[in-house]
Formats: sequence, C-alpha cells, structure tokens
Amino acid sequence: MNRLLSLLFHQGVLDEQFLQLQQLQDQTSPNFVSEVVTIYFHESEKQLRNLRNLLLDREMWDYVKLGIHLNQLMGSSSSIGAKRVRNICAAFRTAVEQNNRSACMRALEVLEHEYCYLKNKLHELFQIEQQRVLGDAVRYPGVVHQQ
Amino acid sequence: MTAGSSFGPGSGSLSCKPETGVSDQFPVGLRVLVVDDDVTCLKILEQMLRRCSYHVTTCSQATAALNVLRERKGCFDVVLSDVHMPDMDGFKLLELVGLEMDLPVIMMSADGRTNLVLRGIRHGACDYLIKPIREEQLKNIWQHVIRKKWNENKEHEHSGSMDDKDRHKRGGDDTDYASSVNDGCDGILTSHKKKRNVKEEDDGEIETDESGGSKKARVVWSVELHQQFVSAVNQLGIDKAVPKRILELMNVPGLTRENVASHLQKFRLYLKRLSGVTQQGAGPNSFCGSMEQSPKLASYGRFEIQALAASGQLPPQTLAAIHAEILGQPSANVGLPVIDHQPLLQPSKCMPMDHVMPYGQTLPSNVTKQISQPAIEDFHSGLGAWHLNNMVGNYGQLGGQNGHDMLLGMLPSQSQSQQPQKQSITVQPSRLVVPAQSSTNFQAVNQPTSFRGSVINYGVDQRSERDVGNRIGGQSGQNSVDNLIETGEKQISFGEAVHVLDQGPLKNLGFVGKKSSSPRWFSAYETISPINDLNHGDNNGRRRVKQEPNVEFLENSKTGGSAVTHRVSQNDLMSVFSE
Repeated sequence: MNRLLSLLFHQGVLDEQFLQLQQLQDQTSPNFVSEVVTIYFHESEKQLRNLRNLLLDREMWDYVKLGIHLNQLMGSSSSIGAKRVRNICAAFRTAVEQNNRSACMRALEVLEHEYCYLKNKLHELFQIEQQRVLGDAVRYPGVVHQQ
Repeated sequence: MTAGSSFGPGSGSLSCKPETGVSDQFPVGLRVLVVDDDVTCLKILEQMLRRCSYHVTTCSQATAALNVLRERKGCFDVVLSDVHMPDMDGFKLLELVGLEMDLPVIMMSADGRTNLVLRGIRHGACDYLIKPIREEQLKNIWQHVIRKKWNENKEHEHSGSMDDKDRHKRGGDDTDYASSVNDGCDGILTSHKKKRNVKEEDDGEIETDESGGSKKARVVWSVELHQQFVSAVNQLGIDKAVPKRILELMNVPGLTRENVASHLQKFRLYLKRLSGVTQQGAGPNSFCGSMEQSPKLASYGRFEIQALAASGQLPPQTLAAIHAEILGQPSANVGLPVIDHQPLLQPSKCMPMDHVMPYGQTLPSNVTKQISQPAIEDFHSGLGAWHLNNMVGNYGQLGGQNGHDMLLGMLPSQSQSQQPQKQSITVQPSRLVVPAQSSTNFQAVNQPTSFRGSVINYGVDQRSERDVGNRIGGQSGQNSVDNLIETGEKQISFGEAVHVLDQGPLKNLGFVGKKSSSPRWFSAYETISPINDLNHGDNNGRRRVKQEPNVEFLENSKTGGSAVTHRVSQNDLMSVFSE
C-alpha cells in the first residue's frame, strides 16, 4: 500500500492534500477517505459528463458553464489531493478562456484519461487497505489468543 | 437536489444550539455554516471543521443556506461560502449575509485569480481561501469572528487609517513615502496608515482589515481635528465630556457622534494607559523600558498628565504626543516619552513630586508663545523648545535610576543651574561627558539611552558656539548608539563626520572638544539629516523614534527656520506617526 502511495506521489497523481485527508480519518469516521473519494468520483463523473456535453454542443459555446464545471472539478480534485487531474483542469480552463476548442477537446481527453487512472489507482489502494484491515482483523484475535 | 441537504452530524445539524461554548474554551463550539455545492469539498470541510472542535452546519445550496441563516439569526458565528454555486453566486450570498446578518463571511474557491479574490474582498468577504483548504487555515477562522466583534465595538480603532484616498495611495511605497513628506498632516496620516498596512500585509491579513474598514466611513483624526477634540474635552473636563457635547463644541461638519464617541473612548484608554504604564510596561519597545525601571517615574507621569488634562493646560505638544499615541499602535510610543517625562522635565530639584505646579506655571512662558498658530512648523518648534527647557531634569531622573550613570551626582546641580535661564546656559564640562556616558548606558540599558542622546541635543539649543560642538557630540553619542545596529547607513548620511562618529564615545569626546565650533560640521549634518532620517524611518521604527528629538531640536535650533529644516521635521513627524 505504501509502495503504491509513494508511486502515486512520485507520478504526481496525488499530493500532500491526500495525506491530510488520511489524517482526517479518525474513530468518528473510520471510512472517511473512501467515503470522500466515493463522493468525489460520483460528483466528478457528473462534471465530466457535463463538460463533454458542453464541448460536443457545436452550436453553443458556453464558456461560462464550462468554466464553472471546470472550477468545481478543480476544487474537488485539489481537495482530495488529485494533483494531476487538478492541473489538467487548470490547463483546460485556460483553453476555455482562450476559446480554443480543439485544445479543449484534447484537454478533455487527457482529463478523462487521468481521471480513469486516478480512479483505478485509488480503487487499488482501497482494496489493499481493506485487505490489510481484514488481515489485521484476522491477526488480531490471534494476538489475543496468544495472550 | 433538495434544498439544504445537510451533512452535519446527524439530521439535527441545522438546529440551533445556543449553548455553544463561550469564553473559557473559545473557539471550541464556534458555529460555522459551510455552503458549497461541491459535496466532496463539503464533506472534507465538515470533517476538518469538526476536528477544530467547531460546531458545523453544512449546506450544498446557497439559497438554502440563506434561508437557514434567515430563520436562525444569531445561531451562526461565521459563514464559509464557495464562490461558484449554481443557484446563487457566492458573492451575492456574501452580500446578503453582510447586509442582513452582518456575519463574517469567508469565501473559498479553487479559482484564486486576483480579480476574483478582489471581488470577494469588495463584496465584504473577511477572508478568501483557495482550495484545497487545509485544516490549519480553518483552525484560525475564529479570528474573523473576534475581529468583527472587536471592530464593531471600536469602530475607530483604526481611525484615520481607512479612507479611500489612502487606499489608492497604497501603490508605490517609496513614492508614497516621499509625497507624504510634502503634504504635511494628511501625508503623515496616510503614511502612518500605509505603514501599518504593510505590516499587516505580512500576515496576509490585510485584505481582511481592508474590507472590514471600507464599508464604513472613517474619520481622519488629523492633528488639528484632534486638537479641537482635546480642547473640547478639556473645556468640558475629562470626566464630564460626553460625545454629544464634544461634538457640539468641536462643531466640525461631517463628524458624527459615533466618530467622536469612539475617539473619546480611545483617548480615555490612552490616558488610562498612561497611568498604567508601570503595570502594563511589558511593551516591547521604547520608553516603556525606562518606565519599568522606576515606578515612581511612571506615576509622576500619570499625575502630570491628568492634572494637565484637567486644568486644560495640555499644550499642543502633548496633544501631538497623545495624538501620535492614539493614532499609533501601542508600539508607537513616540508620544509617550514626551508626555511621561514631562514632570521630569521640570527639574527644579530633581524631585518630580513638586513639579505639578511648576509645570503649569512655567509652561506659558516658554511654550505658549510658540503655539499661537496651529501650523505644523510651530508645533515642531514648540516641541523643541519644550524639550530644551525640560530635558535636563529628565536626564537627571533617568540617570538616577541607572546604576551605570557616572554623572548622577552632578545632575541635580546641573539641572538647577540650567533651569532658570533657559537661553543662556553655559555648557558645563560635565556636558561634554554626556555622549560618552550615553553610549555606555546604551550597552548597559537599552531604552533610556536613546533618550539621553537626545537630551544632549537639547542642551545644544542654547546656541552658544560651544554648544554647536556639543550638539554634534551629542549627535554622535546617539549615533554611536545607532551604529551598534547599523553603521553603513550612517556613513552615507554623515559623510566625513562618520569617521568620528564611528569611533565610539571617547573619540567623540575628543571631537567635541577640538572642533566644537566648527560650523561646517553643523551644516553638513543639517542638510544631510533629512535623508538620514528618512532612511531611518524606512529601516527601523524604533530608531525613528530615537531620532525624533534630534530633528525636532534641529528645527528649533535653526534660527532662520529654513525650508530644509522644515522638511526635516515634517518628515520626522511623519516617521513618528507612521509607526
């Protein structure tokens, strides 16, 4: 798990905000990180859908709406520490501001790709964590038993 | 999306809990309303705020948040709001909240572009957090609650510091500084304010204050205005002075009762502070230090100021000093020494207890002449003259407290002989020793020395040839003090003289003895001093304070009162105020 984490950090997929998130997890909310990340994926998928629809709408170029969606995606991504997604959002926003539709399309594709990568990796991470928790749960009675 | 979906602890998160922990464990239980359409952020923020022991209410829609706020007025201490929300712009919410509930609102957004932040500030946000928001940032948000309350109580805490003109002036620091040298009183205040803002900026809190202040019209308490105020207070008597009466007496258009009320409050606080110097003396700076050494000193100061205030004897110098004090932070203690040492400045026998009356009596003879016009120059020269006549006693007092003071024994006699004939004092040999002594003292005790340096300068004001030299000696005495901190600058400012100045007290003495009547040195110092002083103003507030008496003296000693010296003193006054 730590190896995966450090890999993600090294790749710039995650940043220290994710560690903050982990620190926020305590007894009152034992599944805080996974809860937040679940919400994040749920929300950001909506955002991505909206972005794609807005971009594919050839008649209307609603850069205001695009900006709002991007901003929200940026906010939530940075809040969970999804650094790369956030950075692509920023680039995307610049493209929107420049009215550069092709750059926007490229950015959207990169964004979706990054998003999928993040999702997979975080999923992986949670699975490893879950296994570890399960493993702890299995080992723990054993420790008690030995005493 | 349903209105006001709440992610608070349980469904009761929107319910008002009036018992929120007050005082003892503040800010625990601070009631925070978080509004963000981004539920991810909302969830994270909620957890973070809860970790800060705040009472959190979350809301994913601005309209719902507004409803909640309207329904439960007084149930929240602070609002955190996202900028971009689909149903209502965060700025709109901010504006409404500001208008209706007058709660501190903190804006947050992933978008940290300057224009957006500025917009937030303009709409009255007390802070603007850029996502991702960290727990540390939230730990501190209670300060906005306190600040808001505090600002409400003392609306004019920053009186004279928040007006639009000032805001525009904040552009170039240097140019601003220079221009304020020339535009007199206003400039002084401007610069004063600007300096403070620069300080605040370091904390990243400037925008906060700025926005808080910009909503209300502020009164600039200029020197004249403050003088009017004080004379009105004196006329009424400090205990009977009520804002309404003062306002009537002052008869200044545009001034409101509230303005006067808060200024009066400040003024009273100031007087109180004066009387409590000994107790609160922990102030990091300037003359409080010397006060602490002698409780007597402080208490005399108190009697004096109160007696004066009551009898209406407060001369403009005092007003100015008080003014400086009132406008400044506690750190701007320039005014303090002047006032506090008043009693000591009347050195009939170095027994300040006798001085309340003599003070009042001598005052008219030497000061009132100079205060007949309210002009700034007069104000300076008055200050100088006052010091001149009074400093020696102060010196004696300070010396008296100080174990290192070799001259202690001489002082009473010296001051006695000097006091009666203010203009024609011949310099006693002991005076020449003064610079040396002052530097020694500087090493031993920090605060009094600077003052002592100036004491020497006042001695010079007697205008005998010898005194010229002596003054230079005095100046160098002070310089050697200053040089402990910063030599290079002195060298630039003083040119040739530096060689002497840098050598330390003993050399200075020699210099004084040999070249005591050299007018060249005198003029060199004089012309250069503005720059010198300006530099000091820029570099070190404390030093600025120290320098002040010198320049004041300059003003006074200069018989013609040339343009140069005037500029010096304005400049200096400004630097004094700009603390």
